[in-house]
Amino acid sequence: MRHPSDDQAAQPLDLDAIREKLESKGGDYWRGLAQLSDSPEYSKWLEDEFPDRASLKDVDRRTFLKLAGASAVLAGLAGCRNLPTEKLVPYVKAPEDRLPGASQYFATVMPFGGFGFGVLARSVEGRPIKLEGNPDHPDSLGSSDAFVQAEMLNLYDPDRLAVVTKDGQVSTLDEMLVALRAALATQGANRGAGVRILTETTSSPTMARMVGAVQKQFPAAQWVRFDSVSRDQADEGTRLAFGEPLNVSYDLSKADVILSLDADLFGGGPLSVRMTRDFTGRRTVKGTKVDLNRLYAIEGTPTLTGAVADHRLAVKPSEVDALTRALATRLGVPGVSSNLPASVPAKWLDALVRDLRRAGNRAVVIPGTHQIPSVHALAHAINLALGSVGTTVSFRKPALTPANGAASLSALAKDLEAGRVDVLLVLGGNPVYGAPADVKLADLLPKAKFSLKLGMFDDETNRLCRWSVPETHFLEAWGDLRATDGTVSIAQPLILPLYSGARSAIEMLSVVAGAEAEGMALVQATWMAHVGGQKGWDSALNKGVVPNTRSAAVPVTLNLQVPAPMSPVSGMEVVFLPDPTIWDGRYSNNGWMQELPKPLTKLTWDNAVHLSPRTAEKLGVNDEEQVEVRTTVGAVTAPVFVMPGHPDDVATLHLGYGRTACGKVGVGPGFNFGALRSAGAMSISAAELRKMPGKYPLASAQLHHSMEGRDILREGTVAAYREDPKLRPKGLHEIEHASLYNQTEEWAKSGLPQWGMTIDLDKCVGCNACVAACQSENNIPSVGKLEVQRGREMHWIRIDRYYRVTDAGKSRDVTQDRYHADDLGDKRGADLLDPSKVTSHFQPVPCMHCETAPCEPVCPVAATVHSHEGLNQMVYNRCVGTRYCSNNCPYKVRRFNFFNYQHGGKNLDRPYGNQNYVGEKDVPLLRLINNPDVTVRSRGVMEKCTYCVQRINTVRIHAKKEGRDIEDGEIVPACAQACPGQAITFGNLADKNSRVSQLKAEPRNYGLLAELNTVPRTTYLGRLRNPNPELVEA
Amino acid sequence: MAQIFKPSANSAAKASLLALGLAPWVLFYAGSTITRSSSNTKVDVPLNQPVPFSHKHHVEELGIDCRYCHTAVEKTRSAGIPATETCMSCHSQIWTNSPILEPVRKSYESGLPITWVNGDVGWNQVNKAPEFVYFDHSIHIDRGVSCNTCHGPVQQMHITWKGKYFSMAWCLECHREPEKFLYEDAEKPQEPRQKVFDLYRKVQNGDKLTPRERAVVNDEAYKPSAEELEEGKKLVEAYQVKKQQLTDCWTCHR
Repeated sequence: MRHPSDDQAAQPLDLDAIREKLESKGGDYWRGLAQLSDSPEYSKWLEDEFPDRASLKDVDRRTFLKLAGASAVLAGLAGCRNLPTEKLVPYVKAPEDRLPGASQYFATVMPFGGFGFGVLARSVEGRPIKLEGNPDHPDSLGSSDAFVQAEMLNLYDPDRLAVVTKDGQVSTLDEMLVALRAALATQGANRGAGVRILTETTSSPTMARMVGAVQKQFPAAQWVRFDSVSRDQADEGTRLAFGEPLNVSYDLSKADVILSLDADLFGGGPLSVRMTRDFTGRRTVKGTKVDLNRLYAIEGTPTLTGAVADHRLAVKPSEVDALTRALATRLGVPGVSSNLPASVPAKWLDALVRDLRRAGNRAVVIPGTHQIPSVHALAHAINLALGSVGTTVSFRKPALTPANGAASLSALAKDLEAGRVDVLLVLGGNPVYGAPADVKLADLLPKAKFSLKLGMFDDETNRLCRWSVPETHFLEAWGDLRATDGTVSIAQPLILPLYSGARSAIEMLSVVAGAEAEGMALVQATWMAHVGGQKGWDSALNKGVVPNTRSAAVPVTLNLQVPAPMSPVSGMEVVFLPDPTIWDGRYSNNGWMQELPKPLTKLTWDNAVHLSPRTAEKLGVNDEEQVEVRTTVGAVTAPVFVMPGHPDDVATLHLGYGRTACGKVGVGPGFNFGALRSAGAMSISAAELRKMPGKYPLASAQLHHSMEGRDILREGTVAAYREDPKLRPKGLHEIEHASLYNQTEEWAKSGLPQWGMTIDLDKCVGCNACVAACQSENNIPSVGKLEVQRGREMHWIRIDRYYRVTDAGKSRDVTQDRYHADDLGDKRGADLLDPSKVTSHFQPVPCMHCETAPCEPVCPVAATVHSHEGLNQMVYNRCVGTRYCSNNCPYKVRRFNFFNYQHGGKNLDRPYGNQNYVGEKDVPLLRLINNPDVTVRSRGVMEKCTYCVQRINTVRIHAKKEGRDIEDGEIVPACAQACPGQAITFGNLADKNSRVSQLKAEPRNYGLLAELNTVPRTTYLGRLRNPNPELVEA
Repeated sequence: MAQIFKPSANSAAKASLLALGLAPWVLFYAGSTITRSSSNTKVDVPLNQPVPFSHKHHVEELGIDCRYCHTAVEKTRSAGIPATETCMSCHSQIWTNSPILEPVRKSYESGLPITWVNGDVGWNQVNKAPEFVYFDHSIHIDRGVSCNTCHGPVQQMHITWKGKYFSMAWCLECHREPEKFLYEDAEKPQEPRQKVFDLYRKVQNGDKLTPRERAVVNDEAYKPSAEELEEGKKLVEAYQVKKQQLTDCWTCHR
């Protein structure tokens, strides 16, 4: 089949041309290198919102008239039909407290990275449909993130395992139990020396108790814990610093100066939610009151943290160690010596040191999880030296002593090879896929005499185990998990397992321990005494946290044993990171996550080799051209994605792709870079890259929905804010719109609330939580890679990522001048090649709900009209799909259903990715996920952000029945509810005291493309940067 | 050559010209009549059910409140269909051997939904708003809209039928001019919600009804007088019904 990108001949990466362009343009914001070079690729996306659509130009006039006539007649006939009588099936016994059509919320806990993230699950008529953060849970405080949202789709995934199988043949749970007991019976004599339980890291007290029970039966049995993306290095780091592994938590709400040493504070999934919230909570700008923290990011790969940072330094990941040592020496950590890498400006480091010193115990240094142990150990030593342990940093004893995953997996592999493993129980996880390449688990696993995999999907591990048992989703099972601070939450099921054979890990362990029990009994046995009976149990379930379970911070004394400095990698190096949307592969089969544009690259449905422009030029490759990456253990050929701001001579590789088994969605996209990891180098490794022939099409949305405007993003330094609090670009002739219409008076007369929204760019970290929450709330389909390449992704809110060449250290940047760059004699083009000077900026763009909406007058059937409350309404049942509205929308926020994405794939060539994902038989299960308050749109219908009108209506009806006005903050759209940065505020503009009105009164408030006089109801608050004055040149 | 057409053909030709001119109108009229006829709309057509439940018997003769069975009507968007358990709360005591209640008893014993004699599951849905309409029972009750206003004379139905054709034009009659439909018992001012159910109590007690109440209960056309319209306008104000909101698309479609 013809591919959209076939039209363009491969264009070599011409950095000189781009440089020239950039210099003549000055420091404008740009979407990607294609925009800078004014490539045909970019103009295609600028000129036409939906390029690559089938054209009507081949149809002659007669045929067109024939078709038009026939359609008109058929459309008329389609109205003539007898609607079938539908059936209603009432309950036999109605469940108490469950009202038809009403939502119920239950607190439960989601596992991620071994910890538990507290959620509130919304259930409608017994069917969980949406997850929100639990305000009472310490890691959430009510916010959530994209991974939490995506769990809904995992629950209803049609590819989930449904039956027990033996050697791929359908079997039963009873047969499995007989076989398992028989296998265990042989183990009594040797005290279970042949028993291995392989799980992921967990903090579940009941799980630990159950493993303990198993080990009581079989004292020689071993519990192996392995994670593809682990905290092994962090644990090793605390061991180096304090002699024992400890959990570290950072309280950013108390931190004035934050230094990230290759740490991604905001991109770590649910574990980042609290960090983000605390961080943005310290970015207060109210009129003249400016209270901002300062974030320095030293990073070996572009991350959200670097994008948000006030100062960013791009270095090679292997240089971070030397840099940390240099920092430690300067901050008075004894026993460390170092040479500063040449790439780091000494002046920069000295200013940073002084800033950290000044902040003292209100400073914090945070090492990256994937960095080597010495970086962790030294960071802890620095924090101790600064005195910040106790304020911004606290250490806690882990509930379970962590094991080094890669090492214990290697030991397991040796045992398998030696035939010492008789019974291997793999409870969750996917170790065969996640294992380092030099641990040949795939070859060795069949050597276990009895092997069993408990899992949700038919993945790589499942294929190699004799027995396969379907695992329950966390919304179907009882369990318990600890938050990062030790607080326990109890997981309660919201729905019976969709497949009756499904079991949870603790239930399987109870079988092994010889006392089979149900999940609830097991969890109650752990907690009933602690909570003090049924009443306490009920209240713990209701609140979502068990009282008095938070572990106390322990005092630490430094016992630093730093190994010799890492020898620097001279050539190319690669860094392996969890993918920003599918993580280590656990969301591979999740269409929402596959299609969620990765925050910095906007790439969907694939991973790639991320390189800096200079490295790409050196290798002679451009986007989509292939390179071979070779490490000591393997080689993978994959396409390149050039990333401005990426450090040179480093390739960032995301894990989780290139699956060979997992389901219809996950098999196909991307490349398995995990095959390049060895047990000793799980995150950073030396590598060789060479150009390979051929191209691999990637689907990046970074140029999609490009807006042509002069004043899209507003940002500036604190100094610039003091000079012009509106942060207007210099040279901008702001148009004041005068009107005879007295809006305030009209609003007051109508007595209706006037809805509006603000998005604070200073609090947005680009994490994608809003996009995923909107998808879950509003029944938004995934469309598949090919459709994304055609620009047909359906997200109602998108996050635009802009690049800009800036140097926060230059005073001329203080008031950004975008129109008179020539006067400055600027050399921004040259700076493009300095990765530290390329900054990334995020801007979430939903429908603006313009008061003079350009989409409305062009609709021939009045399917989009204005409400009296200021909403730009889209009426699906009126829409005939002319797409005029979308053509006329300057913000490009309208989405069109080119196909019946939600009703099976008959008319789609490659729906949902590579294979026929939404087959007709999958539709009934996928329907369960839909929000009953939102219409499921059909083919040929336009749609867009509604400000979550279903939530507005629900609250309005509720308030009316109580005979009161809607309170401020009572209506929270899905995006605002999920946002960990609390960047989105929604409310009534007619009420001058509402939070949104107050934010709109801020000088930083500006409307996107306001010069078009669209009078958008959604406005933005400009972003402020708080650079260190010492680093600002005069 | 003989004349092909007789002189009368002139008249026939004229008549056919006229017929041709009238044909579109006739066709249009016929079409719209058929569309509006109860064979298409199913209005006033009683639907068979697995158990021949009589609203007339339970509501008018026995005086059971609507909310005894339709429990959620004041609370959520859906009024709710009673569970088997609800039927059995009385029918475990009375009519315990009635053959027409056999499916109910069977359902209660087996824990499975009520079935037809042939084993089919489910009751025929009588009233259904289109799926792109998000109707909410609770707010309508709360603003004093009686059940019969939309569902017809339920208390007269031995076998339930659809009382009204839920067309958008019909909804808009009230959403555009709520003052025509809102009223209050002048002798007994009360909360609009209470008024709704008080009306049925009056019907059950055989109390004297005002002409307006009679029209509501019996589903008859009623043209409010000028004073009543004035009173309606006051009620619109008092109930905080925002007329502009009522005709915003997203009030019902989203």
